[in-house]
Amino acid sequence: MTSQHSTTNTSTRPTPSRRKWFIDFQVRRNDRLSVTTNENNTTVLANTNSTKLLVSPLGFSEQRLSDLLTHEDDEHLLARRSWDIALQPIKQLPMNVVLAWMAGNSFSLMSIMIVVMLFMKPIQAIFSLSSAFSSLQQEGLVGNIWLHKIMYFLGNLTHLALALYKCQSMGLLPTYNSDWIAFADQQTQMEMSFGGVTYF
Amino acid sequence: MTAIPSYLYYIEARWRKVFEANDYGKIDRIIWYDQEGVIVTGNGRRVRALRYADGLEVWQLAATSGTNSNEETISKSCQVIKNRFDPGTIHILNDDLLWSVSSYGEMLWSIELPTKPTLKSLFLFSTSQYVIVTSLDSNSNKLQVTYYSKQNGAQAFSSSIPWSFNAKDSQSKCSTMNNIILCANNAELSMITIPTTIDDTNINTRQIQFSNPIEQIRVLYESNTRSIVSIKTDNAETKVYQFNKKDSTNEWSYHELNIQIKSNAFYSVVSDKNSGGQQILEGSASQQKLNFYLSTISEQTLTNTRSYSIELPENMGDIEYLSYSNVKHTQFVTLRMQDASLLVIKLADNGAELILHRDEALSSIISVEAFDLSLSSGQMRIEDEFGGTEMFSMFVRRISSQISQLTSFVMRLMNMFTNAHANREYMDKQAALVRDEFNLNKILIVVTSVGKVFGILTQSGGILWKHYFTDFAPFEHFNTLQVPLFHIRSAAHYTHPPLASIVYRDRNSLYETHVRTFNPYTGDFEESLSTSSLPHRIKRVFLSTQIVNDFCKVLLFVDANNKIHTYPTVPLSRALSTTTPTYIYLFDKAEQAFIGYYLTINENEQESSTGLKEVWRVAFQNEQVINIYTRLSSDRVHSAGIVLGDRSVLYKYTNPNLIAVVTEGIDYQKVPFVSIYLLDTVTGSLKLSHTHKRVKSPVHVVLAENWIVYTYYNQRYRRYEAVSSSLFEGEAQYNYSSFSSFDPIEPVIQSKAYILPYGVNAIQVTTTEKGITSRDIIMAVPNGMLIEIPWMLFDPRRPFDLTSMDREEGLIMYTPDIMVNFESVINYYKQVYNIRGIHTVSTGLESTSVVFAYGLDMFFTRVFPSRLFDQLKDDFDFMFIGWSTVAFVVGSFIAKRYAAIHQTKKAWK
Repeated sequence: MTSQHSTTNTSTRPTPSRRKWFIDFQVRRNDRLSVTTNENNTTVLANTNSTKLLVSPLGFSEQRLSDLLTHEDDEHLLARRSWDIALQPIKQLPMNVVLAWMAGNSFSLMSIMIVVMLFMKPIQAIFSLSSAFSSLQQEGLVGNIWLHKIMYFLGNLTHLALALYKCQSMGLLPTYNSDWIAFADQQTQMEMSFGGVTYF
Repeated sequence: MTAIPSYLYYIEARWRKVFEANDYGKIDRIIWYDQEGVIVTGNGRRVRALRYADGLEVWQLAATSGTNSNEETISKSCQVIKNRFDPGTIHILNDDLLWSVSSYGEMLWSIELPTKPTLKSLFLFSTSQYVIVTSLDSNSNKLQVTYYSKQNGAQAFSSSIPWSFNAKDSQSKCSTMNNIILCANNAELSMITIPTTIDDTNINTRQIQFSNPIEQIRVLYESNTRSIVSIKTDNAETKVYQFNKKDSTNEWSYHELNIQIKSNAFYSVVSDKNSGGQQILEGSASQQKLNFYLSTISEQTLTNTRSYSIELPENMGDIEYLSYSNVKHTQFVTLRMQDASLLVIKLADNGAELILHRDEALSSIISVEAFDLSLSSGQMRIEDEFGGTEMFSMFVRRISSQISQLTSFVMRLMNMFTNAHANREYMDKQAALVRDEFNLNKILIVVTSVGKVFGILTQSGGILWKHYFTDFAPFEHFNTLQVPLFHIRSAAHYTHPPLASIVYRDRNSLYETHVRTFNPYTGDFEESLSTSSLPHRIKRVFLSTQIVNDFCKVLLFVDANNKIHTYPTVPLSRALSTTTPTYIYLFDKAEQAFIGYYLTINENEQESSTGLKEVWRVAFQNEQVINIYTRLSSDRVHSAGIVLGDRSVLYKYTNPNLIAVVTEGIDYQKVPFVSIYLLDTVTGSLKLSHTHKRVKSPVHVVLAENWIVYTYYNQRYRRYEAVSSSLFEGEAQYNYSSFSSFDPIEPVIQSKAYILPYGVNAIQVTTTEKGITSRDIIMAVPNGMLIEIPWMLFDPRRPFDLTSMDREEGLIMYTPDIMVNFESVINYYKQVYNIRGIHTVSTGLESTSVVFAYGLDMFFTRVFPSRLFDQLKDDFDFMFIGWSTVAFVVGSFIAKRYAAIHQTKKAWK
């Protein structure tokens, strides 16, 4: 005996379920297969052979009734969770500052790795901005979170700024004339001169 | 007779002794003894004996210098004679000193002669008791004859005779023989016999008349009883006279020898030990042939004449010196030719045989240019491949060139298999003329002061070709000789062979100027670009900036009337850039002034002569310009500035129009000084002037980029010093895109002086293709080393206190001494002496510069001023890298397989 419970979000608000689907091997006396009759005739036919189908009693609802209103709670949770995600980069900033300070301005393997990490992490985070907030969607929390996304983006920008500052203090940014002098063209000569000592 | 290389007489240099490069090393005379030769050098001031067997200097004596050590008064004349009656004693006379030396190295005596400006010592004679000095008193026009005792040098006696010549004529027109002075007085030969004893006081004078004025008197042979003299008259006729001493008297009789008269013949006489008579050898050169006539002198005539002739391998001009010797019945003739070749010819019954030929001209190189070798045929095809413009033609070119590459590769392989070692030598020679991958090998064109031009391959030092210009005479450049040598067409145009031109004066008439153009690979002349004589007297020659016909540049001449001519004749607007104004500066020796001219180029003008307009003039008073230096034409400046420790930029003042002027003089306190100026040749303004007191030349200067390094001798501290100066624009650049000498930039000058550990013979800076590599100074020092010193050690910005900023910049703390590490001697133990010049050339590799040093010796090497940054090291382990790559590839395949198995197993768990 198989029975499928599919969660459909189309018509009504579904109950939050931990499972997407499951197979129930238990055979129950009052199996509620009648609802599927018009959908799945083969199973119905198979079932009719073995068991006797009973019609659900009046007032029976397939939906389990919860005793609280979930809608307002979701809003609250969404706000809390999305702010958590949005402010996460800013919370990490002091740690990175300490890390950058610890690395020092000299060139070593560690400091170069830290600089690379300082750059890579925020860039990765910015590119995976939507996936950072996708866990909310998985939990079924849907709402207007563009402000949080902007906050998240700005937070990562602070990380980038820190990385740039680190590069600047390490002298990696071409901010001086001396950094561009190798690209300067040779000066053209405005006058020519020849000559020397006379031969007689 | 053709010259056959002789294995019987294998001649090689056994030993060599190099004397001082200055006046002290100049050989006055060599007296040959049996075991050793006594050599008098330095105008009779130094005497040394060298043993023939091993070149050991057995002894050396130096004359105790006279009272006045001022070197200006040292005359260039010196008389050295071997005492005629006592061969073991040598008498030496220079202006104020007469001294005697015995052949075993003992100074017998030395006396100072009275020095008067009017009195000039001329001739020296010797007898068994006396040393006779004749000196000219120009006040009374009398010849003073003074007798000094041979034993102790005490003055014994003095007399005087009337004398009609002045001092200069006496030296040039007279020569001595035994106790006779022979003087040419126009067409008259005067014989003045000096009495040899005190008792005999009558001075005997006789004359021989000639039909033509006498040009040269040469004493060929002299012994106590007989002398042979050749007299050349100005109609190119030579007469040989024999003088015989009459028995028991002081009289000499003479008669003319009946010789075959050859206009340019040279004679050498030796005494024949067997017969007791003399043999005379007459040698003459005609074209590439030498003719000899060997005869025995018997009384009036020559008997037993044998003639020899030999074909020379190349044209060597006339004979300059000839000496005949008869060693153990083998007859040798030693010749010095006009092209400075040294020849030794053996005369035998079966003819003459050339057994030694040395190009001694190579020790007198005055100009050097390096040419790139030609591209190989494969490289040329690549050049061809990218030559087209149209799409289809480019495609066709590409396919065809690649097919030809493939076929030539197959052919080469076939060739290798079929005849492996057949033509190896020829192939090697061909391969030597093809440019290598990094353009490291060059061909050097060297011009010597005698007029012989050589093409030398750098990888082997082998002489590829040589040519002697018989009518050659070099130009004078201050006190040195100079021959302008130009790249008329460079090797970059692979369809046309490169061309080089030399410009020189005619040997006979100094107003005539010749231009010769030749292919530097073969020495073949390009007749269309050579001329025997230019129609104007030239002041200066230089190369055009623009390419005119067939990728050739033209020569520009400034003539005596300050007009510009081109050779070959083209309009000046094609030879020079019309957009860039051209200035010409000339140094006038008589005025001691630099004069700057502006050259106006008229676009429509077809005539190649254009006038010059004077725009500035810099004259030097109370000081004499002794040399000028320009930067190398190959000098490249890569970076516009120096990055300081705080990452700001100090911009260089790289003025391409600067020249360095070295002057010398004596100031009002009688202190000698040397001044260095940097002169802008466009505006005539001085950008730098340094004066050093109590300093002596020679001053060697290197001018490159924005800096100058020069060396001099400090008389006060008796050491060689170097001064380095750099010119900077400052923290900001006036104009980053162009440089004009008229820009109002006042360069900031930084200078430092350093003490050099050695003297300096020549100095040069390394050149690289792009100028990225740091610079090294190559210095030739008198003890035979070539030293490579990083310019960083000469950096005028070396600080006294090293701050962290300076350390960041890579500066070294200032120490006055330049420490020379023996690792920086680039010629190791191959010592090269008396180096007069160093030529540096860039190669295809940016890290590499090649250095050619020339002087008495030649030396060529590669230097790497910034180490080998663009090349793998010689000890790079290709095998290790190759095998480890293979091992990694194989290992990764195995690991991949194992990983797959492992994954499957894990999945089954």
